[in-house]
Amino acid sequence: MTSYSSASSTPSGGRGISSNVILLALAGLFALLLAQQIAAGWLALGERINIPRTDFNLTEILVMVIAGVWGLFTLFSALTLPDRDTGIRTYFDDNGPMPSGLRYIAVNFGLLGGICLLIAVQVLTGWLPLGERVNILRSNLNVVEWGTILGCVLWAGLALRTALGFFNRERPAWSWGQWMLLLMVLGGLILLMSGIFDIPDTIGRGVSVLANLSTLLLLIAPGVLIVLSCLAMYRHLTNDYGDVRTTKAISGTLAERARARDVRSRRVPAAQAIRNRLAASPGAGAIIGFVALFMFFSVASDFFLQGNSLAGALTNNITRGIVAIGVTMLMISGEFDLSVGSVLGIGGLTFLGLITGQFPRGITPLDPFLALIVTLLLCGFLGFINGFLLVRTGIPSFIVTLATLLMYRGLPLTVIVGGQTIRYVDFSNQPPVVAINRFVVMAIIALGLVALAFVGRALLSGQWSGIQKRRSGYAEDTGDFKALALGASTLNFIVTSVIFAALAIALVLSLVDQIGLLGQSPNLLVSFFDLANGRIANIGPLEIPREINLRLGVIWWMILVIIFQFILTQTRYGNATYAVGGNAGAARAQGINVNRVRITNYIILAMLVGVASIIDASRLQSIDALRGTGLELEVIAATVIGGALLTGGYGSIIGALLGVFIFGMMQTGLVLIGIDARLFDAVIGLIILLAVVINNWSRRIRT
Amino acid sequence: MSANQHDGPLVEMRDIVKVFGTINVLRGIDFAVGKQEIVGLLGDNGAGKSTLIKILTGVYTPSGGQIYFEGQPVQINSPQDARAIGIETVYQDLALVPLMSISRNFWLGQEITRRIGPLELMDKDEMNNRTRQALLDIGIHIRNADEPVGSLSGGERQSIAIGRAVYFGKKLLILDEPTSALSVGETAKVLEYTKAAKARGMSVIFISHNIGHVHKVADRFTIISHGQKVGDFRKDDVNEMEVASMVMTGEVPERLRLPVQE
Repeated sequence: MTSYSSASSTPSGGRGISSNVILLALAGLFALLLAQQIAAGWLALGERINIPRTDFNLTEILVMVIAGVWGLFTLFSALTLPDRDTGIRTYFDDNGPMPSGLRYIAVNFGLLGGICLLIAVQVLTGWLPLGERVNILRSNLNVVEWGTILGCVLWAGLALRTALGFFNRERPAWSWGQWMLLLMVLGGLILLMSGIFDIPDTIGRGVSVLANLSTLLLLIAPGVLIVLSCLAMYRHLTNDYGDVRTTKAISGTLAERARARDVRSRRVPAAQAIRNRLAASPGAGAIIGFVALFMFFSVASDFFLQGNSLAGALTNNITRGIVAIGVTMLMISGEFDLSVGSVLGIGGLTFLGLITGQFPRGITPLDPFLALIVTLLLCGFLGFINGFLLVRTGIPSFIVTLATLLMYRGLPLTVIVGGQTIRYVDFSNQPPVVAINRFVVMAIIALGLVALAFVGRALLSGQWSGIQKRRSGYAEDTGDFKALALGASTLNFIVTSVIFAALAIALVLSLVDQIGLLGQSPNLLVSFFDLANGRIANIGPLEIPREINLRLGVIWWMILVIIFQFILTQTRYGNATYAVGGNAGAARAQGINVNRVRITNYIILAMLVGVASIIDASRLQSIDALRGTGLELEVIAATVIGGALLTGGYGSIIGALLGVFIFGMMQTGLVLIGIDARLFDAVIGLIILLAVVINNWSRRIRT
Repeated sequence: MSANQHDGPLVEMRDIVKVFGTINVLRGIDFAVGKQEIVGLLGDNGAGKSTLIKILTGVYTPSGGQIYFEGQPVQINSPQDARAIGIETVYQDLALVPLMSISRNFWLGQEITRRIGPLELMDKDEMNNRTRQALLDIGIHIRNADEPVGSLSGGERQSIAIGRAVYFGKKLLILDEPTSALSVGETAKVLEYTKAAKARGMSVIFISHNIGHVHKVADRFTIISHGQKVGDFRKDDVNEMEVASMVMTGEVPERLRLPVQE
């Protein structure tokens, strides 16, 4: 990536062995290998019933010829290609002949389109089975296969259109080609990964891999072929950005950057565009990590991409997720809190103690809603103590909250003695049913409707005017992706409208439902435990199968994420929070009460821990003295993975959300791929390191 | 307000004394800044410059003496008091938050908001546009107000802090060592914006060790040494060499002493 800085003025002379040549040569060899495998009869394609191994059918001959031609062509290109092709820009700027490298790439796109169509036909005719095919006739296709056919046809169309664009000197083809190649590198990596994971099953465990070298090659050849050739083509296609790829754009002075951006406003290599976009986000590490791990586990385990695994990964992390919101707020304002685990213990104890009448001992059991309010107030007070001690004594937050971590734990340890557990069922055989007046329920639903209408109107009118602007300026728009942008924004508008309409209809229906039930009983009776964290049995008319354990707490978690992301980015308080952590002196100089912001964030965090403790207690319906131990470090880890800076001033709630998702995926995924669960912490440690390295890199680009 | 009719200096500090324990840091200093005047405050380390300024900005309270602002006696007991009457200090490291955008820094503490129902939200577009316009007004060209301040050079950061003070109608700008870590070109820019601030009606106190920089912008110098004022000198009356020698020795050269005594 760094080899582009040399002057672009030297024409194609001075050819050495470049990495591009090596990549191309390797790709060519792999293509030839593929052809050889078919020729030798080890790779069967199409209808092969009752055909001797040495005979070929039409498909095989076709694939063999294409692979052979492709391999030879790639090898030939590797030998004749100039290392740097400076003619591509000139060519697209409407003068100059078509450079040989570009012609190679154009032909390759044409071949690619052909291969995609071939695959589509293979699947359509049932000779390439995909997905679950037990007890299905060959001629009947399943969802995966239909998806593949659709994708292949679409991709073939794009590839052929791009190839045509290359020959017709259409500038957008240059950009489209890059993005398609990058996507194909990604696809090739997935293919390669799944090939590697298939090795033990295909060759058989305990069998020498060396003895089955050809099988091994066959498993990994397609992936390697795609990755290498696409990478080589991408690098060739982008090596001519030359002066556009100016470093001034990120390291120059204001004026230099402004000028550089004029040039590069639209046309940067695709990889650079991704990099810039990532660098704009605090959680670059979390985004990359999330996508990579998600891909990895999806390929590595057949059970990962299933409702129950994903729901489990969410449900098991509600507590971490909610606490991480508050920890992020606090960390952005430059402090952190080690006492969250102990506050969680106290919160759960208080809530369950109050509704069972066990703590404080001997009281009459409290209404769950009252217990909720008391718990939240108590937790808020514990947070206030943290913040107050911090600003009053000036002791670093690490020490203050280390002290309160130990002190707060004293309460559950003395109340719940000797490893006991307070269980709700020991004190009552009735769930804690709360009676909510139906008028209150209706008022809440109506309020939801108003909020929905409000947000929907703002969002949709913004999207609509965006579409109008794109349409009216369509002719003058010189962007390479204007058609895609218009299509995507229109689609986005439609999908958003449908979602909002569906939500509104659901709310109206439930409102009507409540009015209808008003005659039967004036109150809605529901277990508080279900309200806080019950299993979601259905979404509207859609039944959720029993094995999928998706809980209501996930919904509360997501609502809190949205609220706090909103506070952080859209309100003055959020701005103050960033400023206090970024440069307390500057914040003070602008009249911000630094200590008040810090204490408020401690209180917010502690009350969020209170919410988490109630949701947690509602699921387990029991509390022990050590509940929440170790939570503080897990949550700090998730927050740091999400891009928050331990020293303050930087981070986002969405980043923390992704950080917690990574946690959840690791818990589920590692078990699914059969890695010892005891290695979980070690792997998490590695991920923290990697994520922080990536986050630092992206922040350096930004500032 | 009667302050508007006031013709004397913008701020006047009379007979300021500051004692820390048994140490007399300031021993009766008179210091004044006229309207639309740039005063260079000079002195060696430990001369009492920063103590004097900290009294003016409310960080310290004086042990004796009186401060007048626009002719009125004032008590400045906290930095908030100083800000309230229009005194803005630009410290080198404390002016801006590096990881926040230019526009968020610009409006920090007084963000523009719009109300949507019960919610009060920041109006980011308005903030961005007005930041760009305000900075352009004193000659600072930025293209994107969303860029983090951390990506700017030291001089650009100083410039934005100066632009912010000008925009919010401050009356007195105190620049504490604004050029000490800047390149030659950037120093020239900062000096230029200092003059632009003056042209827009502000008074400036320019504190620096670099006499060359002060000499380029200041209308007048106040030199202090060992807690006492050596003297006030109009820029046209002294050259850089003489100023330097006064800062070092605390003695007024023969040539300048005579007209003062007459």
